[in-house]
Amino acid sequence: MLPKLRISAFLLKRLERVKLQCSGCLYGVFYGESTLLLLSFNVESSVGQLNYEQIQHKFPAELDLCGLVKFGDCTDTEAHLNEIISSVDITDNPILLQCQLGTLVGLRASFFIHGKLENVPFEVVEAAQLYNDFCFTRLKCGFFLHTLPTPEAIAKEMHALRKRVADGNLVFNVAHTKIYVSSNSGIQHQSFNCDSLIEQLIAEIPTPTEAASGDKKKKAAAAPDLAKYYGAVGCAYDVINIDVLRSRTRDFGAGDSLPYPALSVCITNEDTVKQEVPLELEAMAILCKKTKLLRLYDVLIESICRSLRLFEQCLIERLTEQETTSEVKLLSPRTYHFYPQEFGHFLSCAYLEQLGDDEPSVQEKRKRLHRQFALPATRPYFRRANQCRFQDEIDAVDSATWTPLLNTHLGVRPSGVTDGKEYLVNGNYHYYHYLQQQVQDKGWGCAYRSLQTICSWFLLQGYTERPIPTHLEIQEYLHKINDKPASFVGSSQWIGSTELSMCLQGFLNVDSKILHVASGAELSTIASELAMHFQTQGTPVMIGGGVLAHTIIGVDYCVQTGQAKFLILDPHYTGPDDLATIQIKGWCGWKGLDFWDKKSYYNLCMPQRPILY
Amino acid sequence: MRTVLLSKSDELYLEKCAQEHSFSYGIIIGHQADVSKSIVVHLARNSEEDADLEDLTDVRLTIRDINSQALASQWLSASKMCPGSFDVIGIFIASVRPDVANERSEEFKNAKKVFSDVYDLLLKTNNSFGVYTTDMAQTDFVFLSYSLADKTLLCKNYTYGNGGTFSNMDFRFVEKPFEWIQFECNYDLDDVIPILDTTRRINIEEQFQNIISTIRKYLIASEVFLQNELIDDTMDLQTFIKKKKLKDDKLKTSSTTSAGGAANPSASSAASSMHLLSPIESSNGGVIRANIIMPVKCQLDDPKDIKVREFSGTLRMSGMIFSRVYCNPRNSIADVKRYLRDDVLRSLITRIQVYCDGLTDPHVNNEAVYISEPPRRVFFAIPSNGSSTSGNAVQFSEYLFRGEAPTVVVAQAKQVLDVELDPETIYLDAEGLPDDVNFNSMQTDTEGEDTRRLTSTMPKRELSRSLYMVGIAVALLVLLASVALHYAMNG
Repeated sequence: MLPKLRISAFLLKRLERVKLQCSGCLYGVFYGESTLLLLSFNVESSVGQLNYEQIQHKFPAELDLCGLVKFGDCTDTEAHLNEIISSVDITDNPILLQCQLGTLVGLRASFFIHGKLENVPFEVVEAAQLYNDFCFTRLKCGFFLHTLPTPEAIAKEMHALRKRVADGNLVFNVAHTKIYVSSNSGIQHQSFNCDSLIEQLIAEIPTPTEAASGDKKKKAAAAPDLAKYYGAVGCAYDVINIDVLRSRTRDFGAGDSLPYPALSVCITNEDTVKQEVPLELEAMAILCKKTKLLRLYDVLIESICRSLRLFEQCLIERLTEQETTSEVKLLSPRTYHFYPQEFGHFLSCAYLEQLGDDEPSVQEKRKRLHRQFALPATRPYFRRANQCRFQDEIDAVDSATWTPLLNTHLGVRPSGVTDGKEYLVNGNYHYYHYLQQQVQDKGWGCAYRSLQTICSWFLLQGYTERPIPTHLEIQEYLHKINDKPASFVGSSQWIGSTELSMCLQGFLNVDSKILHVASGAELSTIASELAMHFQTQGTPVMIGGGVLAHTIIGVDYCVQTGQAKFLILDPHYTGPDDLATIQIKGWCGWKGLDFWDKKSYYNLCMPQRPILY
Repeated sequence: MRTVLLSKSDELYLEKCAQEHSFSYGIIIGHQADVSKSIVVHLARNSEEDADLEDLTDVRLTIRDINSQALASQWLSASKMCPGSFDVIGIFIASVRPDVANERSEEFKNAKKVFSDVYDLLLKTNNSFGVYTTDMAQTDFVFLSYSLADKTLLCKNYTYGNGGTFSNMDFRFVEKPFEWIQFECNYDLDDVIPILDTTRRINIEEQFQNIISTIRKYLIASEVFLQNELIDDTMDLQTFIKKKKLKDDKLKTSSTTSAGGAANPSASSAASSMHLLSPIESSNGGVIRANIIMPVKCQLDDPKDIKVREFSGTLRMSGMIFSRVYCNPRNSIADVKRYLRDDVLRSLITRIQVYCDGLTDPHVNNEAVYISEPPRRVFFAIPSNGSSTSGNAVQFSEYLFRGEAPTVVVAQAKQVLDVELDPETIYLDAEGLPDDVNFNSMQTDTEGEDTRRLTSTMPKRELSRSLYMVGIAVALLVLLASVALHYAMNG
């Protein structure tokens, strides 16, 4: 029987964007009776080592190589068809997609059945359905690697470590529950049996509000909520957090078997200096929610092994790059998860601590990764600062240190522009406004707040790791570049769009375009220009001038009628960070032309994305 | 107020001690059943000075004459031998004279001093005394004083500190033998600890202290499963057992019905849920099996502080510690877990101490590989004092080196616990002899051609030290002889 084929809408959009003749590998999940969901692809280089060998461990466990895609008139040899097909382990029927350049028209899918191709129809899976049908596991654990600093030794020790991971003694605990998953006794919980599914497990995970109210009737309600508390920013997948434990008790043998040996200790004193590398890893796996719980143990083990392979690759790559000098000090690797909006799935990378994002070798690797995933090398996707933010971590940080609200425009009332098209800020930002961080800036700090919001966008998009500048830092900088006198520092004086652009240049090395509008009435004329800005740059825009400063984060514009409305983030808000109040009272919302002062002039500071990867 | 529960046989033992020796003292081994109740598990007379006294019945000893050194050493030895759920909880005195059991007597006033002397000695002489997996220090002890003259028992609670204070304490003789629930567990030590400071010669004792503190940290962070299941800490043991039995019965009936009526396969698959948990079977003799589970993390306390470190030596542990503890049905599950952890730690500390006591030189010479084989744990049942209520006996443990005969245990049990053992009844097979095949394979695995391997060093208690002395003596003799010969030849 032919497997059923489904393709993620995210993947189709990415395939559509490939404009050059080439080929690539496809990654998918097998689930249910016999369904293949294609989720991702990479572009293969025509010469040299095959890319998939370098990147396959970056995918969450269960997302495996399952076939190849050809763009345009790529021949089988050019596509390395035979090599790739023989590397497909998860199925006997690899998939082949044939895609025209720059369009999805004529996209053909076929399975290899006994060496022959058989065409199959496919179904497109939209984001909402992906979020609904699939979830991710995310586990954290740590090992020590004791090794000589040579590639051979690392490979060998890593192999031993993986064997140890898979020896059946690991036990997994679903975070915030008393559910334990082990190799010998399955999953212990009164409501589970051997036919239980992952979705039943998800229903058992309490969310913080439930814990607070002590509500026991959660079964039905909890599932859709989980992503809100244990998901990631940018998607609505449920994420199951897992703690890893190890059973230190060996199985009791049958009655007459020999007893286990007693403790002995071997002290070795070696001539060579070895290194102890801490491996604190985070591993993810993708699971269909209808998967049987019995599978969970193996999937989690596989996810750890995949992470260890990633670490191994990362440690060895560094050694081979580094010409052997007298002393080689290994660096400890760390896992970073990314959720590129284009992908619709997570991707994990291992980076060495103390090896910054701007090291040439690291940049080179990122550039290759962009190429391999057919991503533009003009914006950052895989810098450390791009790493995925998980809700539970944000909440944990929240309680310790204060963070402003994220993306406050999500869920605002529609603008009401007939036949308009919305052009919005592209990415995440934090809403900064008056009186935050105990700064008494009511009446003068609006432009400072607008600058902070813009800086948060650059921070959250991975362009910088610089913390958000404070009012004082902004003033000090302006004094330093001789734009302002010394008395300005510590004062309550306003700043305008020009100062903002100088600060962006100074703090983040970001250029800005300044647009001058003679009066508020003329603002409608720049709606199309703003639309263009949000399409190409997608950064928040600061608007200031004769009167108050605001942040524009979107425009709804109808080309035919010229009607436009602006999505405004108002820094003059003085209340607590309560999303409902902010949206209902319009501190974040769509404003018409009447919002602007007709007699006053305006200056817009439009930050331009630097080319960075 | 705390209550001490004693069995009838304890009374008989006190009586016997007073009769046979006119004045005796010893230690009380007990178990904390709940916050307010302690059970006396075993009384053991101190026999340290028996040898020095020619006629035991003739001497008129008083509390003032108690040898605190002897008592402290018995205390320490006994606490190493008893399971983690038991401990030395105090001191007893049995005398023919009535004033020992009289609070207002002069005799009684000296008892305070005995306690504080013994406790001071324990703290001073031993750095592993009172090391548990929790940080609570034991400062309350039981003082029992029995007078044969009027057959009375005085029971007091002694609190250490500020010279010590006595306070009231209840006691009760219980007719029925105490009920014990037995737990078994083992702890696999397959860890590798790098030796970071390699500028000095490796000191085995220091490294072994390192092992103890590492394992203690692990144990503190551990979780304990009972019969493969995580049980809530607050539940008490008898409730757990009741629930467990109910569940097992249900499982049994459902499996028999489904086996009988094979027509209903879906029902049987549902019944054989995912708990493949072993029910408490009668074949196990009601023993409950425990598993120790530990977080897999690089750093248990501060995850920020992890660095790459260099080393050129390792401590590689292999093998396991077998643990067996006895609990009272009134214990909470939290108690049970703590006792199991304490037992593992206690056994580790004890065997390492026994091993280190036998070392002639604490340093590893420059051998590439040095294998230490601490003694293994063996168990023996404590015969109930006097009366023969068998079947419910609790087991204590001792440690035997490879090649050592069980008679060592018999002697030790007699001396410390005042029990007569038949060497045949010692359970030798809870832990097997370590096989160094582990290390061999590891060695060939990583080193390849290293042949400077030293054979297993197995120090014998005392013996090795005397051998050493003999060696030196022989060497001296040879030297003297050669010097003499030299002068003889020249002269």
